[in-house]
Amino acid sequence: MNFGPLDWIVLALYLAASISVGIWAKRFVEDLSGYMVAGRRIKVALGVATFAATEFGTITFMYFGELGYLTGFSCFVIGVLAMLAYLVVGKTGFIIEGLRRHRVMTIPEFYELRYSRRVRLIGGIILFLGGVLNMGIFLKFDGIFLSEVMGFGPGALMITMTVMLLIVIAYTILGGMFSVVVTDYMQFGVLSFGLLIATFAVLVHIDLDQMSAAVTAQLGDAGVNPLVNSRFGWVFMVWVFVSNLAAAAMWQPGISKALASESPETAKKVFFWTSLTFAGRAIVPMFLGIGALALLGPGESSAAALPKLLGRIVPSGILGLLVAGMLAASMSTYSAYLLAWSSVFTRDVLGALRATDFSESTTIFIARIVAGIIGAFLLVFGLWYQIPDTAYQYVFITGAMYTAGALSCVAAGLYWKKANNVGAYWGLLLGALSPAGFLLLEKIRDVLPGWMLFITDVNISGILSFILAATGMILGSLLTQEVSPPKQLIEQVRS
Amino acid sequence: MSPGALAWMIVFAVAALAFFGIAVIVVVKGFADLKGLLHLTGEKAPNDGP
Repeated sequence: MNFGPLDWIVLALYLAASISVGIWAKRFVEDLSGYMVAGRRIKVALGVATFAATEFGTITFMYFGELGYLTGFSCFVIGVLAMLAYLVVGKTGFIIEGLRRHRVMTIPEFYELRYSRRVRLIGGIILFLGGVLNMGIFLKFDGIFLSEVMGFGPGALMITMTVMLLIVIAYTILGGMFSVVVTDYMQFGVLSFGLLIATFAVLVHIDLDQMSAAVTAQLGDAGVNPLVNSRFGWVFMVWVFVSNLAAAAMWQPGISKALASESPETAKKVFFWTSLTFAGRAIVPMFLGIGALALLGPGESSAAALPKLLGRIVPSGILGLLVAGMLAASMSTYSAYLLAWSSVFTRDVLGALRATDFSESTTIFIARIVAGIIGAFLLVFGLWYQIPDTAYQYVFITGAMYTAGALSCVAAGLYWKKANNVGAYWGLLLGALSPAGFLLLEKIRDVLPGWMLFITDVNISGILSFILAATGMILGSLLTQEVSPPKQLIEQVRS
Repeated sequence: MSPGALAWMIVFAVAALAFFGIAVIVVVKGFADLKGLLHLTGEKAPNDGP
């Protein structure tokens, strides 16, 4: 076992602090907007901390580390493209400014403002399914990380992960966005410190020339040029840029931080400054993954290589800080995701099935129950599901189930007067079609006819979802202007 | 080291500096924001919330 008594003390102190602070923040929840968007009072620095913490989990560390181990330096392009996409949203206010101006708490809420309550229901169901499936593998990767770094067997891991999830569920259910923001702030500091420790350990133990030589020996030109790497290429790069643009503007856990900002201007600044961390969020773990390739060689399990390296080179005592940092990263991600998906299910699925909205207290009560149910689902799904392709591509294809349709519906809804209900339905359903097809058909790839094999290519399926969603929105709207006249938005005057 | 690897190493250095630099600034300034948020909100009275 790599973990010593000092590591355990550090970890126990950290977990105790997290749960105490999270539950303490419950006293600040006054009403529904307090629970879901922290009363819309978040300023820039706190907004950046909570947004960056949400977008950096152990899963992020693991899937980017896996890519570095498998593809060398060429995967760094993903970090650059992600930064550019978030920068575009931050500088222009593309979508986020409009959403914040209309004071919505969830994206499907906007569908009702611009289209209809039924579009909100369909959008809510797709968002909820895509979001929970996306989150489904997080626990599994956290488990692999802890197993390799701490030197545990799978039995103890299950207990550790269950305890961590229970802590997060407890404070998210009780304190909503207030608890999420307060703990995110603390967790962002701890996770950044953990990442710094890991980077320092790799730089001390592995020479830069050694890393470069390992990439050249194992991957050749494909290790430095993403265009000639068989996992990437132009289709992949376009997909990654477009899906990052869509995720930046519309991924509910992230966008809820913009919607919690004190003004539309603050939301833009939060996005701008957070975007500058996005290259490092990807490239630092990728660099560490290359370190694993250089020190351990190419024969390791790709998902386990990076944590195995860290378990080997980080000294006891410091290891506790590293694990606390990664647990911090996971907890901040889980809490934001649990809050986002439970809010969507309560308000945009259950609520949209009724003629009138639930009362505020009923909404919070149901959201708390749904958050608990999602947590139980994560434990079960994470243990048995086998991930197709790399974890990074799984996360992006499940995200595309929702973001492709949402990008067409929200962008057209805000900036195109002819967008109507029929276009919204087509956009949402066609956007979900190819990712859902990929997830189902990839399992039976061997029995598919040749002409259908393209859908089992994760990159083609991903970019296709955005093309189909945009086509559906444009054709659906243009062909039905008379039978379904567009509904126009009413500007909200409060900010 | 190949020119391609060297170029990506420079990208890594810039990205890492930006990440850790912003992290330090945000942790320091965010504390004041957090205090302000909690001060503005105030503690809810017992039994008046969800």
